[in-house]
Amino acid sequence: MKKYILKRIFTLLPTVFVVSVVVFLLVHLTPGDPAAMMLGDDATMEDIAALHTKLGLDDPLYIQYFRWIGRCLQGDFGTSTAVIGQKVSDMVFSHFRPTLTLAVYSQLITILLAIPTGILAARKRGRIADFIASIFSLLGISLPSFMMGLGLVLLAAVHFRWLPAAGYKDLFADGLLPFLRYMTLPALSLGFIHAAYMMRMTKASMLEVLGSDYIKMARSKGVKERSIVGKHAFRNALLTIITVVGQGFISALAGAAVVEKLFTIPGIGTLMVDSIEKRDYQVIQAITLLIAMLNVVINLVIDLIYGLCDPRIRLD
Amino acid sequence: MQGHSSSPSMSRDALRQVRRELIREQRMVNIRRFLHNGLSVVGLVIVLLMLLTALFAPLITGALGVDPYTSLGREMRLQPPSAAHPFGTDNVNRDVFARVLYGARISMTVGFLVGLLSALIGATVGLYATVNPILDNILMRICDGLKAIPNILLAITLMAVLGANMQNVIISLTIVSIPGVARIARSQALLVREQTYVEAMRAAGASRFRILWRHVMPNILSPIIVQMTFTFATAIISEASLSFLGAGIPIPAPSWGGMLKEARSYIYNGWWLVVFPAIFTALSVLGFNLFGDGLRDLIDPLSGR
Amino acid sequence: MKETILQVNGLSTSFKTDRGWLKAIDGVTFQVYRGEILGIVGESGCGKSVTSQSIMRLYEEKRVARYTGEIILNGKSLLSIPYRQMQHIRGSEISMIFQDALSSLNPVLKISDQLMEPLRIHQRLKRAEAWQQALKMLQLVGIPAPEKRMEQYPHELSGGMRQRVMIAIALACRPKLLIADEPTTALDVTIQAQIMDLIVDLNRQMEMGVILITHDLAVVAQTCQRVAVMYLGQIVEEGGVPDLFDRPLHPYTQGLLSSIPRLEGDRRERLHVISGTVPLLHQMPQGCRFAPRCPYATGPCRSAMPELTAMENGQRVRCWRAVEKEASHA
Repeated sequence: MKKYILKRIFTLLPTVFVVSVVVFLLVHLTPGDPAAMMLGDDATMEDIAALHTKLGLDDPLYIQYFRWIGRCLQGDFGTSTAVIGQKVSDMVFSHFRPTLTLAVYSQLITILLAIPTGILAARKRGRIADFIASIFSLLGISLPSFMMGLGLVLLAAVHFRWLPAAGYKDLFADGLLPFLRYMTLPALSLGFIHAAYMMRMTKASMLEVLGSDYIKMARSKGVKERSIVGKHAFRNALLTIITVVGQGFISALAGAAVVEKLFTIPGIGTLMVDSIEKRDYQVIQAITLLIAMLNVVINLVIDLIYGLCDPRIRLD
Repeated sequence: MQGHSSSPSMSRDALRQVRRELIREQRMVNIRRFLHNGLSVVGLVIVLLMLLTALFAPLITGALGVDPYTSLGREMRLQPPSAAHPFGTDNVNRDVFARVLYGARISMTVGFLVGLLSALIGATVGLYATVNPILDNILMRICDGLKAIPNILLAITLMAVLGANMQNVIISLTIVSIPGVARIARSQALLVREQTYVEAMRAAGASRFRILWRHVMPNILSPIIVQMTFTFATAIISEASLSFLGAGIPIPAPSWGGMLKEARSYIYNGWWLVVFPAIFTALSVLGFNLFGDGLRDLIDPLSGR
Repeated sequence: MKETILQVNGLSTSFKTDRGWLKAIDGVTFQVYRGEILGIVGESGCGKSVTSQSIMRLYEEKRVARYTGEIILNGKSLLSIPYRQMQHIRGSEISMIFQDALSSLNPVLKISDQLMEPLRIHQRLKRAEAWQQALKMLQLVGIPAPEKRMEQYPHELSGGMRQRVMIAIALACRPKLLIADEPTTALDVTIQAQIMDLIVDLNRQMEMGVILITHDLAVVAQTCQRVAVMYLGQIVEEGGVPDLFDRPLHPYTQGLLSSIPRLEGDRRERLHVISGTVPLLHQMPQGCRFAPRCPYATGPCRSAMPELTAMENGQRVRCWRAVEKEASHA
């Protein structure tokens, strides 16, 4: 087990390295001089040059990279250029909770919506449930999340006035009910596209599994239909579904930017978009790096769960 | 190699003739199947309508006497749909119909250029990756790295760095789309290289790059074209998302995403500002996706089912 | 008089296709006695497997498959009980083993889970009891170190071992009838013989009826008491193994038998191959289904379907020519 994890981590190192280089270069190649920007219009050439030396901006690129990545590894993502003196890590972490709770909530909705419909569609192939599921998944792949969000706002907030059109209530500070009232529409718009995809994958893998020989064998043993679907088939289909759930969580974190902006939720997505206007590149850099790393970690976790669930994958 | 005797080359010509016939026949069967597949046809129709809309937007709006930029006067602010202004008017008194039609120009241009550029660059990267194992390793690790950053996030970051305008939207989305195309091109090229005739070419002493461009390239074209249609669809979504965030095509250009950004503030008193751009965006994305599905079935009948 | 365990009367199974309902098997009639092994042979696609899976009612009914006829197991009519009640019959009164044990065992469940399942469902054993019983079954099918195997997963066992496990699962509740659908096709020759020996051995010990579905006539000759030959969804000939192998009446059976390579025969003689190809289900010939490939076919063969007719020695055959010959002998 330990060996397997180490091996997996080792194969991820090149990816992690490339991600960090890409993120570093992206911001480094930004037009404009960060020193000049930090000092404002009144700065003299000497001031700028002095700051250059102080920040190490005259050093070779690879030295700057290693200095930067070394600091990142210690949790230091630099200071904001827009809000003077503010540490980027503090900014990002204070905005992280809304995004994370929203992503988890949207994934819960997605799973509850997609997996049962997917199973139903597989079992009742060619019937109404299957047809509805197909339409649903067709819509899912064609609607960007913010459009889904706008549609939901028009319908549930503007037309029926069931739920607020925007705003944020914190799960821990404000309680569950206000959280649900405010976050259900964002969570739905964030999860819808992925729910469609997850449903298709659930259906496909259930169909594959239900057609297999061991299901026929289970049936010939006299296993009840419920137990065939729940125990024999679902466990096998779960292997595919786990991967899809992991991808969904990442796409919920990444897609947060758009949905948070739409519903004015103070998460990292909003922070990132606001930072574009303020040209606060350190923040953008930190968020991109963080989510990319989260992506790598989640994929690793999925691999491990996969290894635990499927006895055919050797863990040693 | 050539001209040893006349009979083998004659039979080769005859074979080629037969093969061409067979391909033509297969193509007819494929086209019929494509047409039978109703949804692909719906996709094709939507795609054509969107392209025509984009092409003739100035003509259509000109005939109606409206244009996407001119204010129609104070009294025309936030008017609901009417005969004269079928999609209503917006908060700065402009005709929404004209703006939506012109929006098609932006979306189609972005989608087309991103699809084309990412296909060209991605296919080149994927092809060259198969030439040298070290190069392959480096290129694929870079692709892995790029793919580890979620697409929309990478696009936002790139836009933040490059600055918001149409050219940069195209550049960013192209960069985002390249790894996917490269992966497909690479795996297809590897498959083709395994085939005997490529082996034979190599044995006959054809140069690597000649083999690559003259023999491998044509064989990976179809999956690349299919991927192009999907990239087209994704680019429309991404451009709309970027513009919605204010990191895409700046106002007053009538991009669908930008219009929706504006509409957000008037959602309680101007539903038409949301509905029409949204329908056009969703419809074009749907169209390209369905069309892509049909194309994929046509090229590889086994993949979808 | 031998005790009849299974009586199948005029069983037909149709499947829904693009061209409407198509009969995959048509009027299949046979019986299995207690303690005997009945072989069902035929080319692939002849309906052997459809017959066996129809007896278990394994196909999804109404929308996919439709059965007519009668299946009587121990006096109980299986086609007239509700589908849900079949759960209680499958695995306890009839069991089935399949061709490929690797794909027929659930890859994510331990051997113990899969082996204890029928015991817990049908005999309502507690976990500990089921465990003991399962261990016994593994010993019975000749698996060494059964305690260790119980904790393993299917992919950790060898091919022959997996087939033994599948037999143990099928026999866990001591069914009266075992259907073995090509149980050794996926195995190598030495293991094949071991598995067939095991089946014959268990058939004697447990006194159950066995239906052995196979395309291998040599296996039938060695293990079965009776054999039914199927062609295009019908039984074309049926009888005791020695009779049928000595004196095959149907031209199809004759063809099958002469296509077995024999060690003692003239080596220079070419193996017999039945000419022609099997017609498709939706373009069945009007008369005898074998007529298009039959070297003896005449006018009547092409216009009217022969019935399965009993001969003097109890052999049954579906052939105009054989019936006529028998009549002229008498």
